[in-house]
Amino acid sequence: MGKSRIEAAAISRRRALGMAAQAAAAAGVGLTLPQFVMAAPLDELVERARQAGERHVVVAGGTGAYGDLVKRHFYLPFTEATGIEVVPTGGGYGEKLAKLKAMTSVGKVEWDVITLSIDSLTPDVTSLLRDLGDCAGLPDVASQGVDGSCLREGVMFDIGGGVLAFDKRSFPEGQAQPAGWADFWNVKAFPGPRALPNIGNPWWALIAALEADGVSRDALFPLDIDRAFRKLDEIKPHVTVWWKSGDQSQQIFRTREVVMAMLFSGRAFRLRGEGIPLGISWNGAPLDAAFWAVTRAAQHPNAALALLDFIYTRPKAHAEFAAESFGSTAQRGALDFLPADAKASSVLQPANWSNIVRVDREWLAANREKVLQRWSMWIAS
Amino acid sequence: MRAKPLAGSPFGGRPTSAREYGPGLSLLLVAPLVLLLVGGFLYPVGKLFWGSIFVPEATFANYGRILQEPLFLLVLWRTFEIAFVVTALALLLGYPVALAMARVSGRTAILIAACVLVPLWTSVLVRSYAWIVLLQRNGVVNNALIETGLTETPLRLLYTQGAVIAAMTQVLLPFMILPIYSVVRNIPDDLVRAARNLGAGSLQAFFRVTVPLSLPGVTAGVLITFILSLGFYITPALVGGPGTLMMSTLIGQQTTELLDWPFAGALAAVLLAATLLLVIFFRRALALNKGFKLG
Repeated sequence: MGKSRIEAAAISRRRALGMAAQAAAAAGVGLTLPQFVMAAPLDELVERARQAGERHVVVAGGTGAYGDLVKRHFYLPFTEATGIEVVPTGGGYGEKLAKLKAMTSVGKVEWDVITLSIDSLTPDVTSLLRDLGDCAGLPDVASQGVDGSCLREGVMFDIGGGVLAFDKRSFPEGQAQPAGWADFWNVKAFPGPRALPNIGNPWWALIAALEADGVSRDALFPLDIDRAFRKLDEIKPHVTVWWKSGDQSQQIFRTREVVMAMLFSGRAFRLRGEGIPLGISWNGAPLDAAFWAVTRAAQHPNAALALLDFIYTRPKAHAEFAAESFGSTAQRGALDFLPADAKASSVLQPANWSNIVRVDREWLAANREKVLQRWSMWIAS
Repeated sequence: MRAKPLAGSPFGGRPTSAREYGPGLSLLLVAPLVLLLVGGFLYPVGKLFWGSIFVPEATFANYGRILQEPLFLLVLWRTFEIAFVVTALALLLGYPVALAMARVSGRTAILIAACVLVPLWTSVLVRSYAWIVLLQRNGVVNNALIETGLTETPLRLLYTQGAVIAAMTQVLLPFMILPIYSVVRNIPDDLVRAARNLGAGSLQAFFRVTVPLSLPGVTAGVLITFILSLGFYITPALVGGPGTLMMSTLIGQQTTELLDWPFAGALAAVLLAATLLLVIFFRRALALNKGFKLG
């Protein structure tokens, strides 16, 4: 679903220009990528690709400024380290999925690796992707990734979620600050207008409502829809903005239209980058992630597997990528290289990552239409 | 349609152009417009409606869905409600302005005309954003209210039905003022003077002479404003919230987000049918009114 795609993919044009300037400046002072020690298991994967005569790997990834970042921090170093060339192509998630289906049906799949949103891992899609099992063949994923990085049909790359962001100008340090969805609902202790997303993924708001109503995290799914909407009724009068786009979700904090909101984590970090003092809580934040997968009929499967393992090495590159994309990747070691002020609210922080809520994919597939319909009625009335 | 003189106009009678141009020449004169309407309006709209019933197969399921899901009827009702309030407000605010424009002259007239026309020439988008600047939580209105001590905490003004109505009224006001002005301007002062001569007070003269004679302009203004508000898209999307969802936004969602063209066609057909019914009703009601007043 294009709607709940990782926000990092939507870096604005202005930002891209800024990054280009930074990159030029970096090149000017002779900054080079750090040399890294290659793990032995990766060598094995690369050797296998070499023996199979796989000289390049075709990756259907992100485009635009985001795509350029991935290229600089991952594709080019991969080629440098392995001699395997990366041929980048790309498009929106929906577009790529449609193309992959078409290519599979005619029996000629040109892509070896595809990047998709975690929401698109439905049975019709998993059948197009190579089963990686428990990723035993990709040792760096297990040793370097956050818990659950291996998705069986792919490995996580960008990770983020719907965080609770609050304005510290309204809730300053030293006083009580919202720490979870129960506080979002507590308008007495934390007064002020609020915002929630209205972008076609209402289960995020339902999760927050159930969290606020005291449902324990492991008992969230299957979601008690009636209970969630009853709880949402309570907060509705205090939600003044139902944001429709990531840009809008940032704007309402710039103009101080709201004091707290559920935001894409990437947007919250970007606002911080602009100097807006936001507090960020991952407590009960619904997960938003993108993953990389090998296509089932890939023509360069060994090279593709080597790439998937490679993106879990070199923590420093991940930290740089995170700083520039305002996102995060699933490489655990990157945490050590993050600037001190970014560390505490990074999703990689074990306390944050363990508090994130994963949407039950089977429940979602069975209930998506029903929930969407009820939501559109509820929100319009 | 044959050219008809403005009903109730003091300058009744058959326009001279009807005598000068034969039927053939008349057809030639309207041909470019007819072609444009057929190619640019009738054909695509017809295709959309056709699709709402016959794509992928002949069925009224799309129309059934509108009746079954309460959301669509709710939004349809709200659309008419908002359009009605906006039209009423525009009439209330616009009529005196149109009257003043017709009565004054010189610099004042130019000033009023500028106040009416300059907004009309400004993009709707810009004017809608201006309302956001005015109404937002730390906007001009809220700051003024707080500074004058009328309220302590900022009021919720933006993303409400009130904001949608205020912004739409402002955007559509010129469409109410101009038709009324063009009719009122042509009412001879002598008629009012004659009424006063015959013993009518100024109020009575206004209600029994000026108002009935201005009705054609009012009808035109009301119809244009009402129909434009029914299809309004940008302003409600910008200053309204999901609680002010209007029909055109819903149709837009179906076409651009859900790509359900047949259903969008059905929604558009229902909106058009409801609009046509109401327009016919309006014209009847106002024509009847005129008959009474003018005898």
